Amino acid sequence: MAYTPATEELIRALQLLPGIGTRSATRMALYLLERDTDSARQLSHSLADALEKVHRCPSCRTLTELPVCPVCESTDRNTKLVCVVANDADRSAIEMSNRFTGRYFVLHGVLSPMDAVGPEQLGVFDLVDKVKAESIEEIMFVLDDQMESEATIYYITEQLKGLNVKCSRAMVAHLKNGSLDQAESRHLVSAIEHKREINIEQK
Amino acid sequence: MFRSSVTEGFLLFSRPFKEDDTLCELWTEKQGRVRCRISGNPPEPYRQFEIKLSNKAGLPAVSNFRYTQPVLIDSNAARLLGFYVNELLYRLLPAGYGDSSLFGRYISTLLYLNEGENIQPVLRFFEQGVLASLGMAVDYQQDANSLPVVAGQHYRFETGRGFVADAHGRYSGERIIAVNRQDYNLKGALSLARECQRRQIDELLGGGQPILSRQWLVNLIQTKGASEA
Ligand SMILES: [Zn+2]
Repeated sequence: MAYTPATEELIRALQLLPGIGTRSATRMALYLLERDTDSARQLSHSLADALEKVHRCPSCRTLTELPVCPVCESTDRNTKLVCVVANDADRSAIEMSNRFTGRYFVLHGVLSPMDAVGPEQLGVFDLVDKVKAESIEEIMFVLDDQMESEATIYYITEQLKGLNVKCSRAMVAHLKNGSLDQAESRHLVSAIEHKREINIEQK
Repeated sequence: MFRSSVTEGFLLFSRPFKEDDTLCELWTEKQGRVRCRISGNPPEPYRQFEIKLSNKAGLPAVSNFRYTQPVLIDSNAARLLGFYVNELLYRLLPAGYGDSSLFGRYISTLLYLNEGENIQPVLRFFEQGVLASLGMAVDYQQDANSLPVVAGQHYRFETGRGFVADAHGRYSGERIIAVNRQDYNLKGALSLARECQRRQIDELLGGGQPILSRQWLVNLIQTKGASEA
């Protein structure tokens, strides 16, 4: 063992972050421990604090510090329309466009068996229950056009078959890396205005 | 380990890496499963490409990428079924182990899945190919004692060994013979192949997490009201 047990533990923990390998994790750990212990303490405090306060909204899975997120709490929103997004960054991008009046449902990912992400991890069955319980009339998907996203939309619409809910899709043009938080709001507005209905083949 | 080679391949899965790169798991004809870093967007899934892989410390370097075929899957249902096929390769095959016959079977499996007919036999065909590549194919021709399977006899299935003659066994010789001929019209033949191959796959996973996408596909096929999963 090259470092102290606690250092090794920190290096292992940092490697849990996406895109961080052994070398980057070691560099970060040593930087925090050798060079900048104030920042390290700050990081440790912020992480503990965020873990304590932030949780998923029980209704839409958005990260929030309140018992229920402000959008779900608001009485001014269209409760029959739900926008399904892959993550909170996309949700907040749509919210900032000031064009969407319904509520959200955050998947926190798309189907990816090799990352151990299946329908349960995405809350798909919670979404189906929500559609039933709240008599939701329309689900609007705002996901990118990657294969995994297409497959996710297909999987969800299959689960929604026979529930008398309309499914639509808004495609945002000119996306960099597929992230909506870098999209210009006019492209988001245009995508929402030109959303297209998804034909679910009824069997 | 290979030095540098040009090979045909497919993307199994990718995830973002640092700011602008992608960490890709490829399924290649010559090197089998290979993990590499590609700058920019990952290759399109289910589409064959040619790539040059050069060995260096850490991840292999990738160059001369070009698509060589049109995309093989364009239906939504087939995309999901393809997840299962990809997960089998990812979970079961060791990295760096090329098998061009399995590579060919992968291509024909994707083509069949895209047609949307006889999905179950196609998945069994692919599973058996993966098992064969690992020397673990279920032998439907001979029993565990290397005797031909007999129509009037009953058998039980033991993972790693095969069919064992057993008067109280769950499987009839007729069904085993039908699976060997890939004749799935005989009632129970398809579920026999599904059960035995699944047990064989689970054995290879050694008590690890089961193949995740299998469960979703069961759900999907049930909601579609199609035949047994
Ligand atoms: Zn909420």
